[in-house]
Amino acid sequence: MLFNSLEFVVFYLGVLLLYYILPKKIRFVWLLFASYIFYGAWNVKYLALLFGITFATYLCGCMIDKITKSNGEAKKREFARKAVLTVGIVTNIGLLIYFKYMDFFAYNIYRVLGAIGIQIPEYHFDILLPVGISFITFQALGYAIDVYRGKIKAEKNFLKYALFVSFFPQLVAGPIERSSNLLRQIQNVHLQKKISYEKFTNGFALMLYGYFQKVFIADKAAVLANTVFANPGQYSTVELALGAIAFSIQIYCDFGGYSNIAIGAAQVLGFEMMENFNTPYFATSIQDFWRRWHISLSSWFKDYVYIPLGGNRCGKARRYFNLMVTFLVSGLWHGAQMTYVVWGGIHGFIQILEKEAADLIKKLGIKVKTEVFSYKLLKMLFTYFVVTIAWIFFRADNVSLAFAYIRQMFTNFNFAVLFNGSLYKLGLVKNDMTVLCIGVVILFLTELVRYKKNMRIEKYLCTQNLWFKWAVLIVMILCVVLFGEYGINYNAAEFIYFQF
Amino acid sequence: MKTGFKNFIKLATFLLIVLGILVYLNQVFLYRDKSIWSTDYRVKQYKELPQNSVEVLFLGSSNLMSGINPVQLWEETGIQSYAYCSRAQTFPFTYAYLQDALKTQNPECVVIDAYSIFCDKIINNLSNTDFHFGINMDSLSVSAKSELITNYIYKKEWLSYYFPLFKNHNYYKSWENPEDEAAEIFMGFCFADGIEYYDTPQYSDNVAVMDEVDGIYLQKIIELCQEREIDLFVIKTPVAYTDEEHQKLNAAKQMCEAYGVEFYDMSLDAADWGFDFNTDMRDSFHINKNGAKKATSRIGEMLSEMYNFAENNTRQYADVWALEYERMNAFLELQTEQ
Repeated sequence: MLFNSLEFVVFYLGVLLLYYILPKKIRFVWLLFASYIFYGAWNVKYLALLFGITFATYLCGCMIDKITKSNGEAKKREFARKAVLTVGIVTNIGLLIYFKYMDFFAYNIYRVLGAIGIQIPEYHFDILLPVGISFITFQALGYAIDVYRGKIKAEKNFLKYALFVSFFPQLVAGPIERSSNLLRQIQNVHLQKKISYEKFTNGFALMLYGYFQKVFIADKAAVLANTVFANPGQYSTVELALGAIAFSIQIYCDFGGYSNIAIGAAQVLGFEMMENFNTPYFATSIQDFWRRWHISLSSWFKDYVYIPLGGNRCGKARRYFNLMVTFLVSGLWHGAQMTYVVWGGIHGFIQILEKEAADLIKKLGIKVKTEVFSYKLLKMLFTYFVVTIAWIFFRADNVSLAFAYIRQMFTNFNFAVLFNGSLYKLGLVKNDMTVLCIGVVILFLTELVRYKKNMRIEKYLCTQNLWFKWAVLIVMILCVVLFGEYGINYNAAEFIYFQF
Repeated sequence: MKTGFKNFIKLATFLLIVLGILVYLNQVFLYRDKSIWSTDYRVKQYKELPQNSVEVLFLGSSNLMSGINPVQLWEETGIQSYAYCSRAQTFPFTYAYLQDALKTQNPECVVIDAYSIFCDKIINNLSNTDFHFGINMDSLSVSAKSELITNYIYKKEWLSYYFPLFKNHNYYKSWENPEDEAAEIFMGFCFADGIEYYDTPQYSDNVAVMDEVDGIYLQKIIELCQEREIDLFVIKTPVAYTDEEHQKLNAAKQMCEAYGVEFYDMSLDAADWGFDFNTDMRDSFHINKNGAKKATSRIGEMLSEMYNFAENNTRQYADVWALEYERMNAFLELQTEQ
């Protein structure tokens, strides 16, 4: 059930209506039921996996809690706690590896063995990838680790815990919620105050903005990006650059749009979810980029991979090692392909270069005005450039094609395409290109408001006069209805991150 | 409580404004065709006719759009008629269009073209991207298209057919000038150029089994006409059909005869009234403007023998057809000059 489908709209409104009719004490049961219906709509078999992960980590949490409270030698208790947690981690990661990485690892093992002269019959694993598995396993794992660390008490109510794992707005593509946030709200759902009118309407406004990002901008940018990436060899610098930029816009508006719909949908139900994007293309460094892009994932990797490895509380070499491992694994998390690993590696490597460059500047005593607009603008543009080059690896079918794309982009100069109408042969007709450009301008403006005011668009609108708020919302509705990529002649484009 | 009521009013007002805008846009985004085969133009022109001014109503597909010229018919016989046709109109749509047409007119005779007989129809869940469905549905009123949508459209697309805005919203991609109108349509008729040589059709005495959908809707058309005490005349404009296709037409003829409805296959005696399949066809299903001239005269002759409209009070609106006749002549003169 895609978010940008009529079925979801009908489903959501039905869930919402019944949610507010039911007594507070049993609302979470209804949400749990609805969440399983939502996930089962993708494939009924997935429900067994969802239940399995839920039960395994629930058990894990309960056992850790029980061991912690038990009497006994501290060393033995700690060993037992670690053992239970290890089983929980291995189970979750094991399931993730099985469903997502078997073929990838097997393929690479065959290549390595082949390179050293050992030929073995190749076997291909044809396993259906359950939608959202990466998100589900990480969210559940995060809970188990938090219980182990004592950050949260184990949830004894299985149904409430099950809702934490399966909460439908964020089930298939995040944000990856922390137990200290979402689970705590679920535990206190019976104490939920009556939702304010402002929060209720703001939630819908945020959902509307998410749909605007998805169907008005992302799906149009996707047409352009797909055309160029399908056959990069026939295009010149301008078109290839446009293709890369279009993909950077597509992935941001697609994923950011999804997150906004998810956060807005949860808000209308009275749940506050964590922010997932904060003007990422205004970042002034790659490190800053990761504080703004897919925040729930980057913070998860920081808390559960980077810091346990030692973080930055060790020597430089070890620090850089930790950084590279974290980003390589983060890349791999996105998909079972070398392109994602390389993409992650680029981000890790550039951060190392940034740190080295900062240290060098300091060592040389070079004075740079870092708080001025010109410096920030330069850094933003450079960061955006690096991020967009990295996106080429993320989008390309394989690493060689990505390199070929970049090589072609920096060597096949032909600026005549700017004037000879070639730009309207990239999948989008003239009017569509115009609409996309308008969409990008609107996106830039809303991002600017967010950057300057540190306020999400729907909260910012709240501070304005009613007539302005209504005008903006009506324009957004009309943009979606009149110019969106949807309808009888379209296949509703899946959100990119659903494949992870 | 006061705040709650205020908030409710605010929300309701906002939703009403949005709904109002969408309802207005729904009318703007009806399927628009600027070609001579335009359905929406014909529907618009028909609605502008004075009420109860049409004496004979023609319904059918493009076969009839370029086959029978109501302006020529008026000039030759004085009969006030209109070709209320739509592209690839099959009997289900003929029935729906007839329902709409009879809201503003009360003709003495309805003439329908049996093109539907030759079409393959899937009974359930007709193609959701069917071009003809889209253009035919948009021009119908909600009451007329409800049955078709319920019976023949995928459930998930119902909203798009009740609210064409959602189906046609991508018009902006090819939007040029929304003010341009199809000007070369005269009381629903359009001149079709081109000549294709055909042999006389292959006739058959056999009768095929009638398509279920055709049977259901032809019966509905017959019953509606009977209910409104309107004569029904089922014709087929000249078509270079195969014997298999003729067998299907025989099935329609058989059904009409069972209900006492006049049926006329114009291909059968085409030579008698001067129609030549070698020179008067545009393609196997459409007659060209030369053929239309002959076919119109033929139908005019038959209708004049069957009816005497001269004494009806509809003749007070003859000036409407006179104006259209002038317009058509001006168009033909321009064509000749070019």
